[in-house]
Amino acid sequence: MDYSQQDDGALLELIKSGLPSALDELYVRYSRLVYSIALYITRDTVAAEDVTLQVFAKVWEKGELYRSERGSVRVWLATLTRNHAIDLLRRERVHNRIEGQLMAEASILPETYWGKTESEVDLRLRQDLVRSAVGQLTEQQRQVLIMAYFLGYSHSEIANELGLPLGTVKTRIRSAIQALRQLLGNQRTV
Amino acid sequence: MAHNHHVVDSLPAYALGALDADEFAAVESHLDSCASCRAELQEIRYVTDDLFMLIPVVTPPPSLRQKLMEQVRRSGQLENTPPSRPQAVWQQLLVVFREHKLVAASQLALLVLALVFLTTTIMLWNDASELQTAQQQGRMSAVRLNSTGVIPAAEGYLTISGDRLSGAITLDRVPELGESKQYQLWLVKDGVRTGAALLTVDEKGYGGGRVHAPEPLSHYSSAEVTIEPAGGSLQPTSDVILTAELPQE
Repeated sequence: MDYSQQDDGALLELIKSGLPSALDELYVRYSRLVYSIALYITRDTVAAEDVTLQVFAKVWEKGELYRSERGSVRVWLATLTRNHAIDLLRRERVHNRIEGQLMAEASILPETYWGKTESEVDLRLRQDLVRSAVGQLTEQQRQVLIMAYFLGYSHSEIANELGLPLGTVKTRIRSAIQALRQLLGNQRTV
Repeated sequence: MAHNHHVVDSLPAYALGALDADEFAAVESHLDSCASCRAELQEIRYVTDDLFMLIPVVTPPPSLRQKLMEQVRRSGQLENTPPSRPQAVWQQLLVVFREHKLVAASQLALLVLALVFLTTTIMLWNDASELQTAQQQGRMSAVRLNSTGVIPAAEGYLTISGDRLSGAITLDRVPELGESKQYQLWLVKDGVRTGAALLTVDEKGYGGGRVHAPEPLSHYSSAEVTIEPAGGSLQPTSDVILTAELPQE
């Protein structure tokens, strides 16, 4: 059955009703997104494959957890993936091994684009904005943002890792987000 | 942390998942009762939700797709069933008819069940007007959920896999409930009700989901659907809107 004309929300409804072919279509649409995030966080292809399987298995088993009012399916999958990958990181305690590598990459990300839908142009524009905005943060702001978002560090873990007072870390996170809000405005991702 | 007793200063770290456990719990608690902070959090998430776009795109190995589908098949519902298994045919036909609006909703149930009969030859009509299918040992069955009169137009079907370990429920012509409530399926055994599915329907009143039960579905005597707070209840808290006797082994 051809699901290519179904939007993501309709596809999820079909998955919830138990159609494996609908899950397969969702995988075709978003496996690159999920795998890329998992690989970026875990830095391990085997772990990234495991996380990818876990995320799509969760969609299959718990598709009802998705709430459209909270955001797009794309964002939901990205969040699920990040959470699974960070859980894995925490279990394996590999923070120290990959932290420096991730932070070094933050400023030299390649020009690649997400999305394969009718809103691809909007998504590409948004991606350019996000990259540009993060690039305009100070090194200190970018550092705490990456440690928190991509490595799953808490406030106090970042403070310990960097040898900074907790209040300084909180201030840097707040100022980073505030700067991004000003740079990006309030347009929701597609 | 507090700003006029609000948690605005902690929301950026909250959105990034960077709060320590005690502060996380305090923020969660505050958000439950503060619309202002929830609105502020929403604004912050406009930014944090897009951070995944910083990551370079990598294509997964082709074998991963096959692994996923094999994992899904092993998960239970599809075990030992071929791709053209009766349940998939039934459900896919249902989707096709709904998408193309070929028939009115009231006729849809009749047509779908007739197709089940033709394609599986296992459904036995007990009563032409009742539309309840009998089940045979080892074959998939479908049971109609009947309205109790609370919502007269409500309709539903419960499909049960051949091994009786899995099932799916579909509701139609029921009201859309909004964010705060969901439909909940209960399976009844010896007077004890076990929650087995939470369902949200679309603006047309249609929705479905998988049934999760601790025992084979053939161990339960009946099924009921009620309206419960979002996330479900431990026991029914409202009147039953749909009900059905379940086939016993």
